[in-house]
Amino acid sequence: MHRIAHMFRPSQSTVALDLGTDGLRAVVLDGGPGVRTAVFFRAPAGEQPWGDSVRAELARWVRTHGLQGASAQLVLNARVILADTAVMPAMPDAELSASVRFEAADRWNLDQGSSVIRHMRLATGADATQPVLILATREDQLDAAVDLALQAGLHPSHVECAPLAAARGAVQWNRSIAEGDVAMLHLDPRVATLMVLRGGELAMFRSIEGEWGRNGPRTRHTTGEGDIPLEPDPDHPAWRWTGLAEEVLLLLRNGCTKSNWPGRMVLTGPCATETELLQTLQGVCGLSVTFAGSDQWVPPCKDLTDEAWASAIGCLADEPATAEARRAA
Amino acid sequence: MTLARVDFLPRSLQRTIHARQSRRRSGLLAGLLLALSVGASLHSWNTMRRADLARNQGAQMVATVPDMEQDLNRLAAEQAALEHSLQMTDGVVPPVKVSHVIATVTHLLPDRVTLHGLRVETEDTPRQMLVVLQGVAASNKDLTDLERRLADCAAFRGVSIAESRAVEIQDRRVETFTLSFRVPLEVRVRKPDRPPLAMETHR
Repeated sequence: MHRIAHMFRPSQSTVALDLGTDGLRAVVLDGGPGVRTAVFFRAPAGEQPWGDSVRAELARWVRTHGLQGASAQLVLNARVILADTAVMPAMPDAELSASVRFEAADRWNLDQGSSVIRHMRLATGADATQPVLILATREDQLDAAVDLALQAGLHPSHVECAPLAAARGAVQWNRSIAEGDVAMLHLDPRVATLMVLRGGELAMFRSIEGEWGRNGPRTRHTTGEGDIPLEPDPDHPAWRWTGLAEEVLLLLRNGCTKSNWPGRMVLTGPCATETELLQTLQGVCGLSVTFAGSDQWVPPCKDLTDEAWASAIGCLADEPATAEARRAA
Repeated sequence: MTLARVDFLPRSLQRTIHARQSRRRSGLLAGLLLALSVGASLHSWNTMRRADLARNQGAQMVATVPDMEQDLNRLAAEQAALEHSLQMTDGVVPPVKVSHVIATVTHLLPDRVTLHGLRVETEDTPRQMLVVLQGVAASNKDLTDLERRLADCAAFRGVSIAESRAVEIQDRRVETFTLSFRVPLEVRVRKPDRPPLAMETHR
Protein backbone atom coordinates (compact mmCIF):
# COMPACT_ATOMS: atom_id res chain seq x y z
CA MET A 1 0.00 0.00 0.00
CA HIS A 2 2.88 2.28 0.90
CA ARG A 3 4.43 1.64 -2.50
CA ILE A 4 1.19 2.16 -4.36
CA ALA A 5 0.70 5.49 -2.60
CA HIS A 6 4.18 6.51 -3.70
CA MET A 7 3.51 5.39 -7.26
CA PHE A 8 0.63 7.79 -7.71
CA ARG A 9 2.27 10.70 -5.90
CA PRO A 10 4.33 12.95 -8.17
CA SER A 11 7.86 12.80 -6.81
CA GLN A 12 9.27 16.22 -6.00
CA SER A 13 12.53 14.77 -4.77
CA THR A 14 15.83 15.04 -6.52
CA VAL A 15 18.39 12.35 -5.90
CA ALA A 16 22.10 12.93 -6.36
CA LEU A 17 24.11 9.77 -6.90
CA ASP A 18 27.86 10.07 -6.45
CA LEU A 19 29.42 7.05 -8.11
CA GLY A 20 32.78 7.12 -6.37
CA THR A 21 35.64 4.67 -6.51
CA ASP A 22 34.77 3.19 -3.11
CA GLY A 23 31.02 2.93 -3.45
CA LEU A 24 27.95 4.98 -4.07
CA ARG A 25 26.68 7.98 -2.16
CA ALA A 26 23.09 9.08 -2.49
CA VAL A 27 21.65 12.37 -1.32
CA VAL A 28 17.97 13.27 -1.49
CA LEU A 29 16.74 16.81 -1.79
CA ASP A 30 13.08 17.13 -0.96
CA GLY A 31 11.97 19.95 -3.21
CA GLY A 32 13.37 22.60 -0.86
CA PRO A 33 16.98 23.44 -0.12
CA GLY A 34 17.42 20.92 2.70
CA VAL A 35 18.77 17.41 2.41
CA ARG A 36 16.22 14.85 3.47
CA THR A 37 18.59 11.97 3.79
CA ALA A 38 22.03 10.82 2.70
CA VAL A 39 23.30 7.27 2.50
CA PHE A 40 26.56 5.58 1.52
CA PHE A 41 26.59 2.15 -0.08
CA ARG A 42 30.11 0.89 0.36
CA ALA A 43 31.26 -1.50 -2.34
CA PRO A 44 32.28 -4.87 -0.87
CA ALA A 45 35.95 -5.77 -1.10
CA GLY A 46 36.85 -7.29 -4.44
CA GLU A 47 33.71 -6.06 -6.16
CA GLN A 48 33.32 -3.28 -8.66
CA PRO A 49 32.32 0.05 -7.07
CA TRP A 50 28.91 -0.13 -8.74
CA GLY A 51 28.58 -3.89 -8.56
CA ASP A 52 25.52 -6.02 -8.09
CA SER A 53 25.32 -5.66 -4.33
CA VAL A 54 25.45 -1.86 -4.54
CA ARG A 55 22.81 -1.92 -7.28
CA ALA A 56 20.54 -4.12 -5.22
CA GLU A 57 20.99 -1.99 -2.11
CA LEU A 58 20.30 1.18 -4.07
CA ALA A 59 17.15 -0.27 -5.62
CA ARG A 60 15.91 -1.38 -2.20
CA TRP A 61 16.69 2.03 -0.72
CA VAL A 62 14.85 3.81 -3.54
CA ARG A 63 11.81 1.62 -2.99
CA THR A 64 11.92 2.11 0.77
CA HIS A 65 12.05 5.89 0.47
CA GLY A 66 9.39 6.05 -2.23
CA LEU A 67 11.74 7.65 -4.72
CA GLN A 68 10.74 5.67 -7.78
CA GLY A 69 10.40 7.98 -10.74
CA ALA A 70 12.40 10.74 -9.06
CA SER A 71 14.88 12.74 -11.06
CA ALA A 72 18.48 11.74 -10.47
CA GLN A 73 21.72 13.59 -11.05
CA LEU A 74 24.70 11.34 -11.47
CA VAL A 75 28.26 12.18 -10.53
CA LEU A 76 31.05 10.12 -12.03
CA ASN A 77 34.39 9.92 -10.28
CA ALA A 78 37.32 11.42 -12.12
CA ARG A 79 38.86 7.98 -12.65
CA VAL A 80 36.42 7.12 -15.43
CA ILE A 81 36.80 10.49 -17.08
CA LEU A 82 39.75 11.47 -19.19
CA ALA A 83 40.66 15.10 -18.72
CA ASP A 84 43.29 17.29 -20.32
CA THR A 85 43.78 20.92 -21.11
CA ALA A 86 44.24 22.16 -24.63
CA VAL A 87 45.03 25.66 -25.73
CA MET A 88 42.82 26.56 -28.63
CA PRO A 89 42.57 29.69 -30.67
CA ALA A 90 39.56 31.88 -30.01
CA MET A 91 36.57 30.52 -31.97
CA PRO A 92 32.79 30.26 -31.69
CA ASP A 93 31.25 27.58 -29.53
CA ALA A 94 30.06 25.30 -32.32
CA GLU A 95 33.45 25.38 -33.99
CA LEU A 96 35.20 24.87 -30.68
CA SER A 97 33.04 21.84 -29.96
CA ALA A 98 33.98 20.19 -33.23
CA SER A 99 37.64 21.02 -32.75
CA VAL A 100 37.60 19.58 -29.26
CA ARG A 101 36.18 16.31 -30.55
CA PHE A 102 38.99 15.96 -33.03
CA GLU A 103 41.53 16.97 -30.43
CA ALA A 104 40.22 14.43 -27.93
CA ALA A 105 40.10 11.64 -30.49
CA ASP A 106 43.62 12.47 -31.50
CA ARG A 107 45.04 12.74 -27.98
CA TRP A 108 43.50 9.64 -26.48
CA ASN A 109 42.92 7.63 -29.62
CA LEU A 110 39.19 7.58 -28.91
CA ASP A 111 36.45 6.22 -31.10
CA GLN A 112 34.12 9.18 -31.39
CA GLY A 113 31.16 6.88 -31.86
CA SER A 114 31.61 5.15 -28.53
CA SER A 115 32.81 8.09 -26.46
CA VAL A 116 31.21 11.11 -24.97
CA ILE A 117 33.40 14.17 -25.31
CA ARG A 118 32.70 17.44 -23.56
CA HIS A 119 34.65 20.60 -23.03
CA MET A 120 34.71 23.61 -20.78
CA ARG A 121 36.30 26.95 -21.39
CA LEU A 122 38.86 27.75 -18.70
CA ALA A 123 39.60 31.19 -17.34
CA THR A 124 41.68 32.99 -19.93
CA GLY A 125 45.19 34.11 -19.23
CA ALA A 126 46.85 37.29 -20.29
CA ASP A 127 47.24 36.24 -23.93
CA ALA A 128 44.40 35.86 -26.41
CA THR A 129 44.49 32.08 -26.49
CA GLN A 130 41.63 30.05 -25.04
CA PRO A 131 42.55 27.22 -22.71
CA VAL A 132 39.90 24.52 -22.87
CA LEU A 133 39.37 21.60 -20.54
CA ILE A 134 38.59 18.51 -22.59
CA LEU A 135 36.68 15.78 -20.84
CA ALA A 136 35.86 12.38 -22.28
CA THR A 137 34.45 9.13 -21.09
CA ARG A 138 33.55 5.86 -22.68
CA GLU A 139 29.92 5.43 -23.53
CA ASP A 140 29.79 2.02 -21.88
CA GLN A 141 30.88 3.58 -18.57
CA LEU A 142 28.14 6.13 -18.97
CA ASP A 143 25.61 3.47 -19.91
CA ALA A 144 26.54 1.49 -16.81
CA ALA A 145 26.00 4.51 -14.58
CA VAL A 146 22.70 5.43 -16.22
CA ASP A 147 21.57 1.82 -16.18
CA LEU A 148 22.28 1.62 -12.46
CA ALA A 149 19.97 4.57 -11.83
CA LEU A 150 17.30 3.30 -14.22
CA GLN A 151 17.31 -0.14 -12.66
CA ALA A 152 16.80 1.46 -9.28
CA GLY A 153 13.75 3.29 -10.64
CA LEU A 154 15.35 6.71 -10.93
CA HIS A 155 15.41 8.88 -14.04
CA PRO A 156 18.81 10.45 -14.64
CA SER A 157 18.68 14.03 -15.82
CA HIS A 158 22.37 14.97 -15.71
CA VAL A 159 25.71 13.23 -15.51
CA GLU A 160 28.76 15.19 -14.48
CA CYS A 161 32.24 14.83 -13.15
CA ALA A 162 32.66 14.61 -9.36
CA PRO A 163 35.39 17.24 -8.87
CA LEU A 164 33.56 19.70 -11.09
CA ALA A 165 30.34 19.08 -9.18
CA ALA A 166 32.14 19.74 -5.92
CA ALA A 167 33.64 22.91 -7.41
CA ARG A 168 30.19 24.07 -8.56
CA GLY A 169 28.84 23.59 -5.07
CA ALA A 170 31.79 25.37 -3.50
CA VAL A 171 31.45 28.34 -5.84
CA GLN A 172 27.72 28.63 -5.27
CA TRP A 173 27.59 28.18 -1.52
CA ASN A 174 31.00 29.33 -0.28
CA ARG A 175 31.44 32.98 -1.23
CA SER A 176 35.10 33.07 -0.16
CA ILE A 177 35.93 30.38 -2.73
CA ALA A 178 34.23 32.33 -5.49
CA GLU A 179 36.58 35.26 -4.94
CA GLY A 180 40.30 35.36 -5.80
CA ASP A 181 42.53 32.44 -6.76
CA VAL A 182 41.73 29.32 -4.80
CA ALA A 183 43.13 25.85 -5.26
CA MET A 184 40.72 23.03 -4.64
CA LEU A 185 41.69 19.42 -4.10
CA HIS A 186 38.99 16.81 -4.45
CA LEU A 187 40.22 13.60 -2.89
CA ASP A 188 38.58 10.38 -3.93
CA PRO A 189 39.99 7.06 -2.63
CA ARG A 190 41.61 6.28 -5.96
CA VAL A 191 41.90 9.61 -7.70
CA ALA A 192 42.73 13.09 -6.52
CA THR A 193 41.80 16.09 -8.62
CA LEU A 194 43.44 19.45 -8.32
CA MET A 195 41.50 22.45 -9.58
CA VAL A 196 42.31 26.12 -9.50
CA LEU A 197 39.40 28.53 -9.37
CA ARG A 198 40.03 32.05 -10.46
CA GLY A 199 37.25 34.42 -9.46
CA GLY A 200 34.84 31.52 -9.45
CA GLU A 201 35.92 30.28 -12.89
CA LEU A 202 37.83 27.11 -13.46
CA ALA A 203 41.41 27.78 -14.49
CA MET A 204 43.08 24.42 -14.01
CA PHE A 205 42.02 20.79 -13.75
CA ARG A 206 44.39 17.91 -13.15
CA SER A 207 43.73 14.39 -11.90
CA ILE A 208 46.25 12.29 -9.99
CA GLU A 209 45.54 8.60 -9.69
CA GLY A 210 46.71 6.79 -6.58
CA GLU A 211 45.57 4.69 -3.67
CA TRP A 212 44.69 7.69 -1.57
CA GLY A 213 42.04 5.85 0.34
CA ARG A 214 44.65 3.49 1.75
CA ASN A 215 46.32 6.43 3.43
CA GLY A 216 43.34 6.78 5.73
CA PRO A 217 43.59 5.68 9.35
CA ARG A 218 41.33 2.68 8.87
CA THR A 219 43.22 1.24 5.94
CA ARG A 220 46.85 1.67 6.73
CA HIS A 221 49.23 -0.57 4.90
CA THR A 222 50.43 -3.61 6.69
CA THR A 223 53.89 -4.45 5.54
CA GLY A 224 55.43 -7.85 5.42
CA GLU A 225 58.85 -8.76 6.62
CA GLY A 226 61.49 -7.08 4.55
CA ASP A 227 59.11 -4.61 2.93
CA ILE A 228 60.02 -1.00 2.94
CA PRO A 229 57.61 0.65 5.42
CA LEU A 230 55.25 3.11 3.83
CA GLU A 231 55.35 5.25 6.93
CA PRO A 232 58.97 6.08 7.57
CA ASP A 233 58.16 7.87 10.75
CA PRO A 234 55.14 6.37 12.53
CA ASP A 235 55.19 9.19 15.06
CA HIS A 236 54.43 11.69 12.34
CA PRO A 237 51.47 10.39 10.34
CA ALA A 238 51.63 13.41 8.06
CA TRP A 239 54.31 11.51 6.15
CA ARG A 240 51.57 9.46 4.57
CA TRP A 241 50.39 12.42 2.50
CA THR A 242 53.74 13.79 1.34
CA GLY A 243 53.57 12.05 -2.02
CA LEU A 244 50.25 13.64 -2.79
CA ALA A 245 51.38 17.03 -1.49
CA GLU A 246 54.50 17.01 -3.65
CA GLU A 247 52.48 16.02 -6.69
CA VAL A 248 50.05 18.85 -6.01
CA LEU A 249 52.92 21.29 -5.68
CA LEU A 250 54.35 20.15 -9.00
CA LEU A 251 51.02 20.62 -10.73
CA LEU A 252 50.57 24.06 -9.21
CA ARG A 253 54.01 25.08 -10.35
CA ASN A 254 53.22 23.79 -13.80
CA GLY A 255 49.86 25.50 -14.09
CA CYS A 256 50.22 28.71 -12.16
CA THR A 257 52.60 31.61 -12.23
CA LYS A 258 53.66 33.87 -9.45
CA SER A 259 50.97 36.37 -10.44
CA ASN A 260 48.10 33.90 -10.21
CA TRP A 261 49.42 31.61 -7.51
CA PRO A 262 46.45 30.57 -5.37
CA GLY A 263 46.20 32.19 -2.00
CA ARG A 264 44.73 29.18 -0.27
CA MET A 265 43.52 25.66 -0.79
CA VAL A 266 40.27 23.93 0.14
CA LEU A 267 39.74 20.19 0.35
CA THR A 268 36.71 18.14 -0.55
CA GLY A 269 36.04 14.46 -1.17
CA PRO A 270 35.64 11.27 0.83
CA CYS A 271 39.32 11.09 1.83
CA ALA A 272 39.59 14.68 2.99
CA THR A 273 39.11 13.90 6.63
CA GLU A 274 42.46 14.09 8.39
CA THR A 275 44.15 17.11 9.85
CA GLU A 276 47.49 15.48 8.91
CA LEU A 277 46.53 15.97 5.28
CA LEU A 278 45.94 19.66 5.91
CA GLN A 279 49.28 19.98 7.68
CA THR A 280 51.17 18.17 4.96
CA LEU A 281 49.68 20.18 2.14
CA GLN A 282 50.19 23.38 4.08
CA GLY A 283 53.81 22.50 4.76
CA VAL A 284 54.68 21.35 1.26
CA CYS A 285 52.71 23.83 -0.84
CA GLY A 286 52.98 26.79 1.49
CA LEU A 287 49.28 27.50 1.29
CA SER A 288 46.59 27.98 3.88
CA VAL A 289 44.65 24.73 3.62
CA THR A 290 41.16 24.19 5.01
CA PHE A 291 38.25 21.84 4.48
CA ALA A 292 35.59 23.26 2.21
CA GLY A 293 32.84 22.71 4.76
CA SER A 294 30.52 21.08 2.25
CA ASP A 295 28.34 19.72 5.05
CA GLN A 296 27.35 23.34 5.69
CA TRP A 297 26.43 24.15 2.09
CA VAL A 298 22.88 23.08 2.72
CA PRO A 299 20.84 23.23 5.94
CA PRO A 300 22.33 20.80 8.45
CA CYS A 301 21.49 17.16 8.11
CA LYS A 302 22.66 14.48 10.54
CA ASP A 303 23.75 12.24 7.68
CA LEU A 304 26.18 14.81 6.27
CA THR A 305 29.25 14.67 8.44
CA ASP A 306 32.33 15.56 6.45
CA GLU A 307 33.55 16.40 2.94
CA ALA A 308 32.51 13.05 1.47
CA TRP A 309 29.23 14.47 0.21
CA ALA A 310 30.68 17.52 -1.57
CA SER A 311 30.17 16.15 -5.08
CA ALA A 312 26.69 14.83 -4.38
CA ILE A 313 25.57 18.13 -2.90
CA GLY A 314 27.50 20.16 -5.45
CA CYS A 315 25.77 18.56 -8.40
CA LEU A 316 22.51 19.91 -7.03
CA ALA A 317 23.83 23.48 -7.34
CA ASP A 318 21.93 25.65 -9.77
CA GLU A 319 22.92 26.17 -13.34
CA PRO A 320 24.44 29.65 -13.84
CA ALA A 321 21.27 30.99 -15.48
CA THR A 322 19.07 29.61 -12.70
CA ALA A 323 21.40 30.91 -10.02
CA GLU A 324 21.48 34.39 -11.58
CA ALA A 325 17.69 34.43 -11.86
CA ARG A 326 17.35 33.33 -8.26
CA ARG A 327 19.81 35.98 -7.11
CA ALA A 328 17.97 38.65 -9.11
CA ALA A 329 14.68 37.56 -7.57
CA MET B 1 29.16 33.40 -9.62
CA THR B 2 28.58 29.80 -10.58
CA LEU B 3 30.37 27.26 -12.67
CA ALA B 4 28.68 25.88 -15.74
CA ARG B 5 27.65 22.26 -15.58
CA VAL B 6 29.42 19.85 -17.91
CA ASP B 7 26.72 17.34 -18.67
CA PHE B 8 27.89 14.01 -20.03
CA LEU B 9 24.43 12.64 -20.66
CA PRO B 10 24.21 12.21 -24.45
CA ARG B 11 21.05 13.05 -26.33
CA SER B 12 20.44 9.44 -27.26
CA LEU B 13 20.41 8.44 -23.59
CA GLN B 14 18.27 11.45 -22.73
CA ARG B 15 15.76 10.29 -25.30
CA THR B 16 15.88 6.78 -23.86
CA ILE B 17 15.29 8.10 -20.36
CA HIS B 18 12.46 10.34 -21.51
CA ALA B 19 10.93 7.37 -23.31
CA ARG B 20 11.23 5.31 -20.16
CA GLN B 21 9.63 8.11 -18.14
CA SER B 22 6.82 8.27 -20.67
CA ARG B 23 6.45 4.50 -20.52
CA ARG B 24 6.29 4.64 -16.74
CA ARG B 25 3.68 7.38 -16.85
CA SER B 26 1.74 5.50 -19.50
CA GLY B 27 2.07 2.31 -17.49
CA LEU B 28 0.79 4.03 -14.37
CA LEU B 29 -2.05 5.57 -16.34
CA ALA B 30 -2.86 2.25 -17.95
CA GLY B 31 -2.73 0.57 -14.57
CA LEU B 32 -5.03 3.21 -13.15
CA LEU B 33 -7.44 2.81 -16.03
CA LEU B 34 -7.26 -0.96 -15.70
CA ALA B 35 -7.95 -0.72 -11.99
CA LEU B 36 -10.86 1.62 -12.69
CA SER B 37 -12.20 -0.69 -15.39
CA VAL B 38 -11.89 -3.72 -13.17
CA GLY B 39 -13.53 -1.82 -10.33
CA ALA B 40 -16.38 -0.63 -12.55
CA SER B 41 -16.82 -4.13 -13.97
CA LEU B 42 -16.91 -5.65 -10.53
CA HIS B 43 -19.39 -3.04 -9.41
CA SER B 44 -21.59 -3.69 -12.46
CA TRP B 45 -21.33 -7.44 -11.98
CA ASN B 46 -22.27 -7.10 -8.33
CA THR B 47 -25.20 -4.84 -9.16
CA MET B 48 -26.36 -7.26 -11.82
CA ARG B 49 -26.04 -10.18 -9.42
CA ARG B 50 -28.09 -8.39 -6.79
CA ALA B 51 -30.69 -7.45 -9.39
CA ASP B 52 -30.87 -11.09 -10.47
CA LEU B 53 -31.33 -12.17 -6.89
CA ALA B 54 -34.10 -9.65 -6.38
CA ARG B 55 -35.71 -10.73 -9.64
CA ASN B 56 -35.55 -14.39 -8.65
CA GLN B 57 -37.06 -13.60 -5.27
CA GLY B 58 -39.84 -11.68 -7.00
CA ALA B 59 -40.44 -14.55 -9.39
CA GLN B 60 -40.57 -17.00 -6.49
CA MET B 61 -43.07 -14.79 -4.71
CA VAL B 62 -45.18 -14.54 -7.84
CA ALA B 63 -44.99 -18.30 -8.23
CA THR B 64 -46.17 -18.89 -4.67
CA VAL B 65 -49.14 -16.45 -4.85
CA PRO B 66 -51.76 -19.17 -5.93
CA ASP B 67 -50.77 -21.25 -2.94
CA MET B 68 -51.36 -18.27 -0.73
CA GLU B 69 -54.76 -17.76 -2.29
CA GLN B 70 -55.53 -21.39 -1.68
CA ASP B 71 -54.39 -21.02 1.89
CA LEU B 72 -56.54 -17.94 2.30
CA ASN B 73 -59.52 -19.73 0.85
CA ARG B 74 -58.88 -22.73 3.05
CA LEU B 75 -58.56 -20.51 6.10
CA ALA B 76 -61.75 -18.66 5.18
CA ALA B 77 -63.54 -21.97 4.81
CA GLU B 78 -62.19 -23.16 8.14
CA GLN B 79 -63.25 -19.90 9.71
CA ALA B 80 -66.74 -20.26 8.24
CA ALA B 81 -66.91 -23.86 9.46
CA LEU B 82 -65.77 -22.82 12.89
CA GLU B 83 -68.32 -20.03 13.01
CA HIS B 84 -71.00 -22.46 11.90
CA SER B 85 -69.88 -24.93 14.54
CA LEU B 86 -69.88 -22.21 17.14
CA GLN B 87 -73.38 -21.25 16.12
CA MET B 88 -74.41 -24.85 16.23
CA THR B 89 -72.84 -25.32 19.64
CA ASP B 90 -74.47 -22.15 20.82
CA GLY B 91 -77.79 -23.44 19.55
CA VAL B 92 -77.64 -26.80 21.30
CA VAL B 93 -80.09 -26.84 24.13
CA PRO B 94 -79.00 -29.18 26.86
CA PRO B 95 -81.59 -31.38 28.67
CA VAL B 96 -83.67 -29.53 31.23
CA LYS B 97 -83.09 -30.34 34.90
CA VAL B 98 -85.82 -30.73 37.48
CA SER B 99 -84.54 -27.74 39.43
CA HIS B 100 -84.89 -25.64 36.25
CA VAL B 101 -88.47 -26.83 35.89
CA ILE B 102 -89.34 -26.03 39.53
CA ALA B 103 -87.64 -22.65 39.32
CA THR B 104 -89.49 -21.84 36.10
CA VAL B 105 -92.81 -22.95 37.47
CA THR B 106 -92.25 -20.93 40.66
CA HIS B 107 -91.31 -17.94 38.57
CA LEU B 108 -94.39 -18.25 36.36
CA LEU B 109 -96.76 -18.83 39.27
CA PRO B 110 -99.47 -16.09 39.49
CA ASP B 111 -99.92 -14.32 42.82
CA ARG B 112 -103.20 -15.96 43.77
CA VAL B 113 -102.14 -19.51 42.96
CA THR B 114 -100.28 -21.77 45.33
CA LEU B 115 -98.95 -25.27 44.89
CA HIS B 116 -99.09 -28.06 47.38
CA GLY B 117 -97.95 -30.91 45.21
CA LEU B 118 -95.44 -31.62 42.45
CA ARG B 119 -94.70 -34.96 40.92
CA VAL B 120 -92.06 -35.55 38.32
CA GLU B 121 -91.87 -38.70 36.29
CA THR B 122 -89.38 -39.51 33.59
CA GLU B 123 -90.22 -41.51 30.49
CA ASP B 124 -87.66 -42.99 28.15
CA THR B 125 -89.68 -43.24 24.96
CA PRO B 126 -89.84 -40.55 24.08
CA ARG B 127 -87.34 -39.27 26.54
CA GLN B 128 -89.31 -36.70 28.45
CA MET B 129 -90.22 -35.50 31.89
CA LEU B 130 -93.87 -35.64 33.00
CA VAL B 131 -94.65 -32.99 35.55
CA VAL B 132 -97.91 -32.97 37.55
CA LEU B 133 -98.71 -29.92 39.63
CA GLN B 134 -101.34 -29.83 42.39
CA GLY B 135 -102.37 -26.62 43.97
CA VAL B 136 -105.04 -24.10 44.82
CA ALA B 137 -106.05 -21.11 42.76
CA ALA B 138 -108.07 -18.21 44.05
CA SER B 139 -110.27 -18.34 41.01
CA ASN B 140 -110.67 -20.09 37.76
CA LYS B 141 -109.21 -17.11 36.06
CA ASP B 142 -106.00 -17.46 38.03
CA LEU B 143 -105.83 -21.12 37.11
CA THR B 144 -106.32 -20.29 33.48
CA ASP B 145 -103.61 -17.65 33.80
CA LEU B 146 -101.17 -20.25 35.17
CA GLU B 147 -102.02 -22.64 32.36
CA ARG B 148 -101.43 -19.91 29.79
CA ARG B 149 -98.10 -18.90 31.30
CA LEU B 150 -96.84 -22.47 31.34
CA ALA B 151 -98.02 -23.04 27.82
CA ASP B 152 -96.11 -19.97 26.69
CA CYS B 153 -92.87 -21.47 27.93
CA ALA B 154 -91.05 -23.13 25.05
CA ALA B 155 -89.67 -25.92 27.16
CA PHE B 156 -93.02 -27.14 28.26
CA ARG B 157 -95.26 -29.09 26.03
CA GLY B 158 -98.79 -30.36 26.47
CA VAL B 159 -99.81 -28.11 29.29
CA SER B 160 -103.29 -29.12 30.39
CA ILE B 161 -105.48 -28.93 33.41
CA ALA B 162 -106.22 -32.50 34.37
CA GLU B 163 -108.67 -31.75 37.15
CA SER B 164 -110.34 -28.61 38.59
CA ARG B 165 -112.69 -28.58 41.47
CA ALA B 166 -114.33 -25.77 43.45
CA VAL B 167 -113.92 -26.18 47.20
CA GLU B 168 -114.38 -23.98 50.26
CA ILE B 169 -111.46 -23.40 52.47
CA GLN B 170 -111.93 -21.16 55.49
CA ASP B 171 -115.21 -19.91 54.04
CA ARG B 172 -113.70 -18.91 50.78
CA ARG B 173 -114.45 -20.49 47.47
CA VAL B 174 -111.23 -21.60 45.72
CA GLU B 175 -110.28 -23.90 42.91
CA THR B 176 -108.16 -26.97 43.57
CA PHE B 177 -106.49 -28.21 40.47
CA THR B 178 -104.21 -30.78 38.99
CA LEU B 179 -102.14 -29.55 36.02
CA SER B 180 -99.78 -31.56 33.95
CA PHE B 181 -97.25 -30.90 31.20
CA ARG B 182 -94.35 -32.58 29.55
CA VAL B 183 -90.73 -31.48 29.20
CA PRO B 184 -88.81 -33.07 26.35
CA LEU B 185 -85.40 -34.20 27.47
CA GLU B 186 -83.82 -34.75 24.02
CA VAL B 187 -80.99 -32.43 22.98
CA ARG B 188 -82.47 -29.88 20.72
CA VAL B 189 -80.86 -27.50 18.35
CA ARG B 190 -81.96 -24.00 18.82
CA LYS B 191 -82.22 -21.64 15.91
CA PRO B 192 -79.37 -19.16 15.91
CA ASP B 193 -81.62 -16.12 16.20
CA ARG B 194 -83.26 -17.48 19.32
CA PRO B 195 -82.01 -16.68 22.84
CA PRO B 196 -79.97 -19.49 24.38
CA LEU B 197 -82.11 -19.91 27.50
CA ALA B 198 -83.85 -23.20 27.75
CA MET B 199 -86.72 -21.80 29.76
CA GLU B 200 -87.62 -18.89 27.55
CA THR B 201 -91.21 -18.14 27.02
CA HIS B 202 -93.07 -17.77 23.75
CA ARG B 203 -93.73 -14.24 22.73
